[in-house]
Amino acid sequence: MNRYLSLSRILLISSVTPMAGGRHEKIKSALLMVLLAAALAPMIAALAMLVGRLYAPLTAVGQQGILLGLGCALSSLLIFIFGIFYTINVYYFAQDVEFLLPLPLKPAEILGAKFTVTLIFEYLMQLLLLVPLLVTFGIKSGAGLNYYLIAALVFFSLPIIPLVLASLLAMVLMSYSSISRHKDRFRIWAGGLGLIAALGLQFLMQRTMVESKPEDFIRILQQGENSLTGWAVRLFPGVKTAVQALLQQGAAAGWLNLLLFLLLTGLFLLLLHLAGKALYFRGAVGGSESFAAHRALSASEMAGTGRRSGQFRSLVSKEFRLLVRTPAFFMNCVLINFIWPVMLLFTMGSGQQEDIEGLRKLVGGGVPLSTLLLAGVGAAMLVAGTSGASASGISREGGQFFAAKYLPAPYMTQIKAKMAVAFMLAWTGFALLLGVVAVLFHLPPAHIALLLLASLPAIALPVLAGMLLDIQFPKLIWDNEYRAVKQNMNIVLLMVFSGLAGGGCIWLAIKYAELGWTPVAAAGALVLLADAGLYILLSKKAPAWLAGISA
Amino acid sequence: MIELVKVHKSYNGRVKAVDDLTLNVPAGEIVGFLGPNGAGKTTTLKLLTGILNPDSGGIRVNGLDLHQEPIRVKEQIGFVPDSPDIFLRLKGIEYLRFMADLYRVGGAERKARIEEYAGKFEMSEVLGDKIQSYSHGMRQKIVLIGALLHDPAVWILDEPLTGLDPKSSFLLKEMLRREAEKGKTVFFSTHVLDVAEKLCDRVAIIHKGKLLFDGTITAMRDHFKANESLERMFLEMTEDE
Repeated sequence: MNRYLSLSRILLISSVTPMAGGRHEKIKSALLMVLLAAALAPMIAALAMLVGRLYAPLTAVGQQGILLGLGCALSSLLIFIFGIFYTINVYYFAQDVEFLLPLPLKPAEILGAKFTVTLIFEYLMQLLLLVPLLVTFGIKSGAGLNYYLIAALVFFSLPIIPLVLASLLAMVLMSYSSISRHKDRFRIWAGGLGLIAALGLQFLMQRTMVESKPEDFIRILQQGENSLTGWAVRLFPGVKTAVQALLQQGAAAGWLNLLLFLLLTGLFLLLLHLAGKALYFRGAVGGSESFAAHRALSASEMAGTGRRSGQFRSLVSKEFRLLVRTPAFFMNCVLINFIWPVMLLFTMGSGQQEDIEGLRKLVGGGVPLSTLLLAGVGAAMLVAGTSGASASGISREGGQFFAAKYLPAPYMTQIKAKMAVAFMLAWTGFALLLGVVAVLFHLPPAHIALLLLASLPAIALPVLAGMLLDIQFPKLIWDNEYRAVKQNMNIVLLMVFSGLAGGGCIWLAIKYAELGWTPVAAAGALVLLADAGLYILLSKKAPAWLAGISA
Repeated sequence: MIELVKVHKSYNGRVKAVDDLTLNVPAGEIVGFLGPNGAGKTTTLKLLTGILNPDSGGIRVNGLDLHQEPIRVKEQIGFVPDSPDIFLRLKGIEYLRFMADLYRVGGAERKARIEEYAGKFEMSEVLGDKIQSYSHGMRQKIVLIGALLHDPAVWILDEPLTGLDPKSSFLLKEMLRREAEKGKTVFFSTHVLDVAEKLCDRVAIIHKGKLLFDGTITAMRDHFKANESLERMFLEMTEDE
């Protein structure tokens, strides 16, 4: 087998948590897959239904192609944005880089294998977004075999160009700056900037939509023949050709467009190969270095070494430090809690003045307190559910999990410390969001205080559920911290469940607003009961579960 | 002292890592734990420290049952794992404070011990740096210091000399000897037979999970009825039939 294929195979095997183990572990792995499928199935079904519903009205005006255009463009954009951060981690900061560099491998072979494995994981992400779209579109348009063949080829080639672009950006960044000395700091800044860039892009897109005149939109719409598609796919190179291939699948033009798209994709791969040859080793060699100031403690610091803390406080402090200092954990478990206020500001900034004024009147005084409280509880669950802090609490330990076993702190104290940190982060994030809401919509102080109070049990629920999930299905085998959080299905599961619970509360608040306090009392009682149930379950069972995890 | 009674541990119910192991490590002695790669040394030490649960059998440390009173047992032990790559993003001093907190070491004692050990192992100059920036040997030293802060009654060390520079290695051997003389229990695994021969009061040899020998070097020589080196006796004993 040639070295590129051999290396790709090895990297793929080592990046997938093995299913090996006893019967118990295998049953648990299967259960996780079932849970995941159950959680994701409604999302996939909802997307397919949306495409199905939009198809007929859009076909009536000859604009059904925008569905494919938007889907492919959005998929490419997501892969590009997340790809920048992901490729930097996989190409340069993964633990295997140190082992690969001394081997007689060409840079293109290492880069090619790493690119291939990354691409395979991108396919998994595309499965959720693109497959329901392509299949529903195929069924609705009554397409034949030709369409499905082209769709399969588009599915496999679509993520290549955005991933190559992300890889090129990563290589240039890593080669032309002395960031390897402060790699953690760099990754935290790069991640933060990436997030701001993504939010900024969303802001610009919304702004363009708001500012574009409705008559322009109607004019394009009236042109028919999928003229809107061109507007949607401008976002990304190559996407237009891929969409044209799908839309013209019945004619030779479809295959010609596909050929063009594959050629363009091939060109991008060649570009990656050449750039890899020239740049990869420049950034990779020395990537494992770590900055050390060789700093002795000052007299006052040395005097401080005698300061004592209790076990719980010390565990909380350790947990918080590791979360803040590990870039992948910082992005997914810390920063994510604080993007909501920023997103709200961006959204409000891009909205039209009269809409904001209307919302202000509604939230600031027009909405009954009962509705506001229940919607707040739902929002708090959504904020806490998107953070990976509790759902990766055990997984983040990775290879050092054994330390939790030999240190003389009760397992429940260790679990509580992890949950406390997750809770504090989510609650602070929610409080900031509430602060922005309060300023934007002139909320009375009493309402703010009540919302802060009501959010306590609401945030506790995803935190407890996340910890329960992660104790049951810990992902302890990973070669790169990024995988502990990004490829951790517990975080995805928690997001879906919190989305359902939080979304359910918000829906209940709006739908049954006229019922006053009844839905608030019902939802509140349910949340409190669930909190108490989960806490009791964890207190009674978690220490034994934790003791049973192999280290 | 450490007592292992008829301890069994298998992985996935198939591979027997530790098979019917009965072993006593008395206080006041240094006992070396020897065996080829994959013999079950690390598994045994993990069982002793609560990292793994045995399938059956009993483990007692200073009279306390590990299964019944895990926290009290762990408080007795100072454990140095084979991999020092833990809590890499903490600074050296943060790690030491964390360990002192978890082992409930008093303010004045921890300060004195941190100063003493950091000075001895030449780590004072880097305590303000993250462990991530340390070399393998420095990581080994910070983990060692962390394990000793609570002045443990039982020292359990997994390959403690690997990666240490000659001076630190010498220092550690001296400390092991001194602590054993004070009545502490010292149990460590090693591949360096020369160290075992010169430092240990007794050795225990394990192979394929089974205890092959437990006694003094002199007793081993008597067993083989020859004045051979420990290396030759070890090879002879662990050679497959």
